[in-house]
Amino acid sequence: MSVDPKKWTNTLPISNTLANDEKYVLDGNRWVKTIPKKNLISIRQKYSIIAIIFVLGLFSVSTIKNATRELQKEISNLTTSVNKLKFNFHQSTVEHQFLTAPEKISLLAKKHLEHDFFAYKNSQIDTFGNAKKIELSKLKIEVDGQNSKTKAEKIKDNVKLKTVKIVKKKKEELRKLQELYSKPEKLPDVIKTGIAKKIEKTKQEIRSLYSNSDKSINSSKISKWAGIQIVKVFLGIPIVPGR
Amino acid sequence: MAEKNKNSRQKSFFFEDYIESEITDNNESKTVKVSLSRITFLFFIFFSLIIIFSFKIIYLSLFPEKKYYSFSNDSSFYKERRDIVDRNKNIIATNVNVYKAGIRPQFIVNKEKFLINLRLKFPNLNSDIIKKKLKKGNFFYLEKKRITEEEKDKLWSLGLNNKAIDIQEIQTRIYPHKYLFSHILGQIDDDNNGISGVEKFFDKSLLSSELRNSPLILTLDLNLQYLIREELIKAKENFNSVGAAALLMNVDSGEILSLISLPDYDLNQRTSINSEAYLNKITLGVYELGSVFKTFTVAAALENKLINSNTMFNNLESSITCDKHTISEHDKLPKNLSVEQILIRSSNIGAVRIAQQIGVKKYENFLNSLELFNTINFDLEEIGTPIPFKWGKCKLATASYGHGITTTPLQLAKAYAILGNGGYKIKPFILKKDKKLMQKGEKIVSKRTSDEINLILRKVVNEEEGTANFANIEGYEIAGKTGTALKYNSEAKLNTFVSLFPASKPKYVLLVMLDEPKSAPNYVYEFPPSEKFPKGYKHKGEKRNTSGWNTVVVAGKIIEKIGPILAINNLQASNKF
Repeated sequence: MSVDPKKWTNTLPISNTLANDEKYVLDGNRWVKTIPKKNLISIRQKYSIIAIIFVLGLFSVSTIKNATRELQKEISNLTTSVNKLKFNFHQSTVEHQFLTAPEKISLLAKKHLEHDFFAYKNSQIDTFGNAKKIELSKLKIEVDGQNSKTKAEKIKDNVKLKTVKIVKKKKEELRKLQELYSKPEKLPDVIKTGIAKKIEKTKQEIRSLYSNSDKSINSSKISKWAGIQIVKVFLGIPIVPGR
Repeated sequence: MAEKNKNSRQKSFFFEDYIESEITDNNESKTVKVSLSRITFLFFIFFSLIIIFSFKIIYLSLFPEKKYYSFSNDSSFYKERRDIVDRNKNIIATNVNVYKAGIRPQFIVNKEKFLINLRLKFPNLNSDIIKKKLKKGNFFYLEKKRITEEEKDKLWSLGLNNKAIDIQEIQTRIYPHKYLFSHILGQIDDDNNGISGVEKFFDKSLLSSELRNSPLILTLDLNLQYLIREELIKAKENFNSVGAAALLMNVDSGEILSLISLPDYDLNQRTSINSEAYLNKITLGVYELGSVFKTFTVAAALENKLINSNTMFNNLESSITCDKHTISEHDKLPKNLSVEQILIRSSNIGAVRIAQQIGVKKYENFLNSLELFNTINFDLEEIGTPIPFKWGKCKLATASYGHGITTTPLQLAKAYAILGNGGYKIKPFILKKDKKLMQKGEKIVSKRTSDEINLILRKVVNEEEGTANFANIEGYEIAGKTGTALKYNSEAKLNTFVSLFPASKPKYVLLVMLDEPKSAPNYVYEFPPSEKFPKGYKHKGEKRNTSGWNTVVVAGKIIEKIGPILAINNLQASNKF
């Protein structure tokens, strides 16, 4: 009885053989990865970077500090002005309190107002409270108002009547005058002679002016006229009126 | 070799690579070592400098303020002492900046000229004293302790050099209303410490730096205070009294709205007040207050259900003798009086009879429940203690009409407030409290007794036989009781009137007191309208000097003026709306 070695070998699971092959294959990179990498940046570079960062940090601190100081100055100035305002406000409040003290106000009231302050009496409050009384008082006021209206109207009527009378009188006079002028023959003789005399007188005066013009215009009149004209010139008034 | 170097740069394989690099480092080590030590040295120096500077910067950052830069115009104003304000936030005490001027004579070149100029600018200063001080040559402060801004400028205008004048800015307390709150606020010393009144009682709180910006709020009202003081001044003149006092208090809470005691003083003058006349009559004064105690006698009897207001007391004697003391009526009164009439007509004998019915123990307990004989716990230092006494039959008789027992007007007003508010215990106070924190006190008198007392007290004012007709101001429903007492071992009187208003539901108690008033024959009394005289009438030439003829008149006038402010408003009028 011969032994068939393959018989047993074939019984072994095929899949495992493949896995074992993979297992025992050496991967160089697998181990290399585990070794810590040599630093790309040298110690000198490292220190210099730190130093630069530190120095930059210092510079930035100082700039920030300066900016902060400026802000603080501003804040301090503002606080000072706020304090000043507070102080002034306090002073004004005290002053206001002093000036508006009841004592001061009552003194001013005594000085400038005619009467002292009085508390409301019950009777005064009653007129506000009692609606009927208010209505009555309203009525009273209305009646009083009406009275006052009639008085005013009466006065107006009187004035009107008087003016109408005057107008009538004037109209009557005017009418008479018109009649006289329209019909001169109806004029009384006395008036007629008076008017005739006046007409005659003025006629004579005009005649004498024409005949003795040199006499009527004497030196005094001329000088007076000239003086007036000079004054007019100086005052800027036109010499000949109407121009 | 080249290949070796190539290999050395190759980093693909670990072991070989590192061995190679080590070798190369070792080869160059000699040259590098020297340069590295120098660099390290320089680096160390710079690094240490940087460290020092950075520490400095950190230090500056931590302590940045004022030490390294100051601002000349920094004039922060803070008060050394808190403001005191009234209930409406009106300032009644505050601190202001003033100056204190000192002179250094050694730096004054022409002393004669300086003296002349000083006399011209400050005529009120005593030049002789200054002359002497100038001669001595030592530094001295000017006589005037506090100078104003203007006076400071005047001093500078004298033309002295900076070293000769030393001007210091200091704070001082001022009181804009001068006299008005003198007995309440009290005074402070030159070091800004309170020495009397509120300034002393709340000294710690007033000096507290944490509360510096918030004022101390009092329950007092500036306007009420002024109006009441004005009326008291007039009363003092009209009735020629040596002093006067008034107290206005809320009956429910116990908050005091006004407290006046005359004579008073200007707080800004800072004068030392030692005279007894200037004591706070309301809180410190302990007096025998007279008939105002009859109310308590009636209330005690009503509370113990021994009587009612219509109970009759018949055959009242015209006088009673007790332990050699004779008790009699002040006026001729009917022999038969009801309880109500006893109080309305203020009958001494009637009060004695009621007290006798109550008994010593019950009466004593009732008065003690009203805390009339304790030292009151109040917001001021100036508190009086009633004079202790022993109860007995005669003490009961005299106490029933308010003689032989003492108390302070503040305690009297408190007791009336308890009777008026429905019987609840109260604690008078002047420091404004949060309303939420205020609790209703213990009930010590029944509502029934309170209502009955209010009704009888109203009749004292509005009935013709009542002793307080002058206080029957239309619309204000005033109730009250008069008290006329003789001062101990003296013929001088102390007249008191305690009023509650409005009587239907009292809200305020007003106590008016005149110290040693005189009759006022020249005073024109205005009688209020009555059945006989519907329009009222005027009366002059009165010689009586009882409470009804002075304190009642004053109280009426006060209520007439303060009524609108208190916004009680005319009840009659408000009912009609």
